Amino acid sequence: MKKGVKITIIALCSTVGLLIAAIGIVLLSVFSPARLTKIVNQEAPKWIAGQLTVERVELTLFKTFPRLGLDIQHVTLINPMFGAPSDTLLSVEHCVAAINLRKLIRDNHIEVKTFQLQNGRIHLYTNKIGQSNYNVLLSNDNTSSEYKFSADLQKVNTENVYVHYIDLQNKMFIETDDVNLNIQGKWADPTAHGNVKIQTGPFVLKILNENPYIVRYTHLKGSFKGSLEEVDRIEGSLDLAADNVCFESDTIHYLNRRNIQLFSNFKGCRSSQDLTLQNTQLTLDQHQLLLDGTAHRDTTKDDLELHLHYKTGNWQIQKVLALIPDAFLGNALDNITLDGLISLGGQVSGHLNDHQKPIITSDVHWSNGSFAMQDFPFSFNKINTTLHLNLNLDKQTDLQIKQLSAYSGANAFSASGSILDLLGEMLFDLNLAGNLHLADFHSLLPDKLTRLDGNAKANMHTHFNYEQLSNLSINQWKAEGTIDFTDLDIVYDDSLQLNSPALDLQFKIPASEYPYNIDEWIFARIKAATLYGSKTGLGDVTGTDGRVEAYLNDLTDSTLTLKLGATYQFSSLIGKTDSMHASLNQPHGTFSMPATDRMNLEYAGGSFFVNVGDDTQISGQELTFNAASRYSEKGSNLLTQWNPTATMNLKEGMVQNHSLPYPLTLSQLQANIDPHKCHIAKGNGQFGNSLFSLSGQISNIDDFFTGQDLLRGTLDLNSDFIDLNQLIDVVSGFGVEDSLLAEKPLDSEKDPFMVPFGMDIRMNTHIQRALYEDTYFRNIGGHLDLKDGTLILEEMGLTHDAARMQLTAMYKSPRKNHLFLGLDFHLLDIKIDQLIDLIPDVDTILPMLKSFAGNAEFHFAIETYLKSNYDLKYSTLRGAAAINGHDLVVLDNETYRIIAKKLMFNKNTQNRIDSLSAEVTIFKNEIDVYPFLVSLDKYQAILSGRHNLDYNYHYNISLIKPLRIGLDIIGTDKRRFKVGKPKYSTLFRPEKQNVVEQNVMQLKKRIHEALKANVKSQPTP
Amino acid sequence: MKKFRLPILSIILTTLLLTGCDFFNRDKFDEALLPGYWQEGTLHEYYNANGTGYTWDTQDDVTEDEAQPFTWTLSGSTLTQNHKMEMGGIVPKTYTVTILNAGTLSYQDDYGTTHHFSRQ
Repeated sequence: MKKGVKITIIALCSTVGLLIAAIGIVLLSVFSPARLTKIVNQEAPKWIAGQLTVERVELTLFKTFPRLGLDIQHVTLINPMFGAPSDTLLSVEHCVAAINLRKLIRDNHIEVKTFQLQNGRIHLYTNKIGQSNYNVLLSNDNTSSEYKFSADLQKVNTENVYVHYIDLQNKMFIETDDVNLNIQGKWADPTAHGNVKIQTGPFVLKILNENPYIVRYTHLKGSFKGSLEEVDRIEGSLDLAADNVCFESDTIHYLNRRNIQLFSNFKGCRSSQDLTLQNTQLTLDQHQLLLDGTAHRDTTKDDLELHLHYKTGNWQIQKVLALIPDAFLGNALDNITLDGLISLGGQVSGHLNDHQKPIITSDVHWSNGSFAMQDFPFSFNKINTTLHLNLNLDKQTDLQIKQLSAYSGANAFSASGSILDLLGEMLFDLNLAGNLHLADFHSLLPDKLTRLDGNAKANMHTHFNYEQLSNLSINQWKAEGTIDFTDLDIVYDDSLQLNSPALDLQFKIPASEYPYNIDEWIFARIKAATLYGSKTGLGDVTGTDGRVEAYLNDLTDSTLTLKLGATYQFSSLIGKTDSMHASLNQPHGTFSMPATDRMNLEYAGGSFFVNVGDDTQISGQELTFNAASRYSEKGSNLLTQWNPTATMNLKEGMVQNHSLPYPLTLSQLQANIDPHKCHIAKGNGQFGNSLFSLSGQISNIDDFFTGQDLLRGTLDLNSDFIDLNQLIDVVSGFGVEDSLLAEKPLDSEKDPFMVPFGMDIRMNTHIQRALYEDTYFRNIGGHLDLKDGTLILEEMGLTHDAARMQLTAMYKSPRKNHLFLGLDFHLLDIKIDQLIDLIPDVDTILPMLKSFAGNAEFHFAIETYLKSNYDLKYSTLRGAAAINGHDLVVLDNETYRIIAKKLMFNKNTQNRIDSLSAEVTIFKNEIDVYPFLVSLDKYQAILSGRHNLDYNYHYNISLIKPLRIGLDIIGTDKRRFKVGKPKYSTLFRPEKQNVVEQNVMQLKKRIHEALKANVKSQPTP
Repeated sequence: MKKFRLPILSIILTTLLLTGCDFFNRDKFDEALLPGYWQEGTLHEYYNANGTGYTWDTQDDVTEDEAQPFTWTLSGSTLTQNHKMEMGGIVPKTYTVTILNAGTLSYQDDYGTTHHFSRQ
């Protein structure tokens, strides 16, 4: 700096300083404190109604620089009012006011430019009728002062002022201390510009009306910068910060020592009741709320029109909840843990009056949230959601869930959708999804669900309202979706198990189709590549490529009964039990239960295979099965209660058993079953070489099961060919293990075939050809009757090349170890050698018959009781046989030669016999041959005797012509031949018969007639 | 007279020989003694007064209820049992009674089969 300039500046400053000092000296001399104090004390009563006391008044320049001011010291204003707690209205150490000195000197006009209060106390009071102790200023018109008074305040400042205000009219109490107010501005009537800064110490506001409350804080700091026009329009920036704010009523602590900050750029108009907020930021502790917008109040309509945008910061829910008074929350959150960061943003738009409410929209973001509730098995974390709320109190409030995701343990949930009319009906329209570990949900389900494991991926869309939700009226919900299960493992009641590595469930409620007319409510489609189920003690079943589509009625309505309709389809079904293994290919069909008392099943499938035990296999190439059932409580058993009807069609079926040398094939089996009857329309099959076709009907099934009547039926068995050799091989020893038979005690109770009681079933047989041994029989016809515990093969007629035959057989099983077997067998015109070949037992009954050749007629009846292993009970054995022969030839065998020799037959004797008529009885083990006459050439002999089943013979041949001589044949293997007197001589000469012979002949006749009486007429082939 | 002694003796002996059996058979037994319950070991027979009866053998696990019926006649010493079969046909059995009293029934057939029953 140049020295000249420096000198100039110093000189200038010195001059100004001297000038100021000179002015000061002048002013001090003119306005001395004593004079000013006197003036103020004189003038103050003219302006102020109270009793004002001023200790000292002096001029000041420093406190009001650059203006000259008055420093009124120790000012006390007393304005007593009845009821006021203090007569002192104002008491301050310094009251500084800057005045316009020029107007004061020239115009006696006191114009205040600045005003300061320092270190004072203000006691304000308003009584119940609205009279206040602070209305002390008198207007210019009412004063007698020679001075005029006006205020052109550019600065108002208070320092350390205590303010105490009681307003009994409004029941309000305010107390604050250390009020430091700084107002700087410029008043250019009617507009004021400036800054306002305020800082106070502890503050208390009490409202003592019907709803008393208290507001207090420890410290307030604020500022306002802006303008005020015509005391009507205000615009500026407001910045407030209050510490330790408390807001409480006598019962509720709304705020407790919270820090509140408010910053706002606002603009308001009192006359038009407009308020505009910009960048308004309200902070409660660290919880921030941003506001922008306008508000307009129409006082004539008592309407407030709002257009506000708001946005919060990220609020910690726990801390926000801590701000909410307990009185508001009550115990709602006692058992709930809720946390996370939540932020809101949106706008408030519309009118607020008695008839309208503004629309409030809000975008809610809840992030990293958590939720847990006592006694609720799940806690949720990682909750992230974005919601949009449209709050319209006049019309409808809607909530849109843009996105929601949460976890509970390893379970993930997500949702989106909307809740319309949130404050009213609450219409939920939600998309829900989840990846679930089923084991986590086990505890929610009934205890009988022993195990629940696996994963589920669920996606569903639901639609319901609050009433339907709160009432759990699921039947009124709309929902559809999918649940894909993996590694599904369910065990129910420790016994019923369901497994699937992958099972997809698709469902929809309410169902959109009604195929079963069962008031369909829910539709479910199940798809599983593999489905495994098992029941302890029963077995298990495995299905592959399964697909089940099921419809059910409303399951939630306890007044309704279950209705079900389903279609099913599998690539295969494999079932296993301890004794059975079944495999079904391509089973499909429907199952419906239109009511609990009605069920329908349709089954159709391809090939199937059933393995029963280790020895029986049942298979088929195609099986259809339709069944229906209707329950009636009137029924006394399962059949009459369920009344099933069914149709079955089996193609290419086969039954194999290890005891059967041949499979039983069923080329087709068609049957219809209803509670009353079973109708076999077709039953075509083959067993070994035997072909058969079975048809007919079994009736009275229902009456049979109720015990009201016998089970009746007639079946027709038609066959082109029956191989009896094969059948007899199969039937022989049926039910008895041959290898073990001898080892078992004979008296042990076996399990023989037991003929059922209560049945009257007839099977009519029509067999074209039958092969027995090497003999073919033709036209075999007769009846097989099952009559109430008795199995009867009745009058079975058959023919073959050698004879016509008729067989009646009876089997009864009154108890296991007491079985009845009876045979009535008639062979008409049969060759004796073929008879013996056909029935080897004939040789046992009539051993001498094999000595004859020729045609004979044979009648044979035998009956006995059997043990359980089919051994004879010899004490019950009864039998009778009659044989009539014609044109017989006595065979030249060793026995004949011995007899001929003993009886001295001529060597040239013709061995031809004209006739033979013999009767035989069997009683226990005794076989008695009644005397019969044999005419051989010139010889006539009567043969009779007995042999036992142990082949102990006792026979007699009485030669009665040409001489009388007897020959006894006695013994077993080594028979003795003893010549003696003839046992019978006049037996066949009635005129000479003695009583014994007459009795014998009578018995022969009775035996013969009784046997022949059983022969029924049979058409000659 | 000596001349006819041998032929007369022969005729008497022959007559006795030829009729000997009939002579014994012609023993008459009181039919009224037969009705009742008779047992021989495991073999049981029951005779009703009306000419019916039934028999069973417990050795074969047959009970009285399961006994098989017969009709009977007793003429002199000839006991005839007619066992009627369910399948049709009859099995007549003829015996010669040798003892019939209050406590014992014995009979035999032509082939030497004998039975000795005690009344029960």
